[in-house]
Amino acid sequence: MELSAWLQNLPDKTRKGLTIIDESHVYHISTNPDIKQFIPQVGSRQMPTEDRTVPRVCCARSIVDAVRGHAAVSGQAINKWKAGSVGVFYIYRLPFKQYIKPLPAIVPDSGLTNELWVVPNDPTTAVFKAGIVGEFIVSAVSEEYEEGELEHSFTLMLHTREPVRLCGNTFLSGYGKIELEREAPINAPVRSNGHAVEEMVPISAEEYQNVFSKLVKNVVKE
Amino acid sequence: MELQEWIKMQNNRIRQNAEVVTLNQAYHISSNPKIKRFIPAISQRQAPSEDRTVPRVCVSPHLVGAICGHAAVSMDAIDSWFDKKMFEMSIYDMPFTEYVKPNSKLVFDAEDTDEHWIVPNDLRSVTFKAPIIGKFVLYSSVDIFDLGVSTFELSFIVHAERPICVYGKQYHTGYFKVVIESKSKIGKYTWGNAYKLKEIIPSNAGEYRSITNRINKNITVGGA
Repeated sequence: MELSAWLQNLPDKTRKGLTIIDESHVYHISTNPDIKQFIPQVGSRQMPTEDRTVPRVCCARSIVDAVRGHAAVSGQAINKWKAGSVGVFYIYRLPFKQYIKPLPAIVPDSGLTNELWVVPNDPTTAVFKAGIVGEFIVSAVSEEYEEGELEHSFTLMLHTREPVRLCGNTFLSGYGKIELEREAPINAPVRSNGHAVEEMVPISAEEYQNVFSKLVKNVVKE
Repeated sequence: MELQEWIKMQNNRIRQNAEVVTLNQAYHISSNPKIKRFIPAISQRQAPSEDRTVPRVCVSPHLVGAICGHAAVSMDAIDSWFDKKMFEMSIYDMPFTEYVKPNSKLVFDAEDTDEHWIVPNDLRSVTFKAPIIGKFVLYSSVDIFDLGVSTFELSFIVHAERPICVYGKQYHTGYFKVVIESKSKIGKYTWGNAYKLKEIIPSNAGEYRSITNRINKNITVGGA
């Protein structure tokens, strides 16, 4: 079934909050390197006000948006470090050309994350495979409470095996680094994922390996 | 009863792991600026391994030790900010010269906090008054996790009405800022109290006011 026909089967309120967009590069990130098949579903990490009626695989047209949508990359990395592992995130590139874009009425922070969905509109999307095109690690996290403001920043070190869209129209093939930062009064609404890109630069394979080795040395228990 | 006599009457574990020492000064810090009388007690905030047989008022001979011993100054301040409330701590100056000093077998972090106890050994210490000689405000709490190494830095601005021992033999009066730091491999960090003094910076009444005003302004922006 075409996505446009699938939309017609939804309740009015849901349908009005969803649009269809064409995208050639769309990604899902996960610490699981072995996702054999993706199955659209409603996860347990959604915000309380998010739609829970449409099964989906959440994804994004860039790595920065995927990280914003995930909303817990830096926290998960620190938890992995505490548990004695490096905490690699794997970048899966999804194989479709059309996606559902939820509007803020359906996903309140979609204006920040540009979240996209794969929904089960036909057998090819009900269960599907996606290949890993790269990975990244979190190398540093900083949380500063300063005179009632919270500044949260973290740095990603990436390695991609094909051109992967990092942000906007910037693609990376090889090694790169992204620093994300958010600063706001601590009681301002939307706390978790409105990070701006502070820095986005290519790096050498040696720099990536060097950081990776230091992280292994500091966190991996013998 | 003299403290030495009091120690002899305690159980083996206390007798073998605590001694009586003389201090020039000892401080207790609290977010409550209205403690009328101190009464030695066993609080709910002790670590699970700490002694629970001796009622005491926990004190330290320096401000950094008192902050480390409290172990939750930054968390309490930030929680308070989330509740849109200012968080100021009072520094109480203890009126004694002799104290009980537990070793690390009784209080696992005693070396970091320089914790001492006031115990109910006589009528003077069963219940007593202590004056507030200063106040301080946390204005910055920085947690950095860099390649698996965690660094925590806390910054305070202090107003001391009388000379206060900040650390070691460093006495300061008036307005000044204190920065303390703790650094360790991730996962090794315990209880948030292994801070060391990093820096003492002179300040003034205007800066104390400006900082508290900015905090007040920032914590009242937005919020659910």
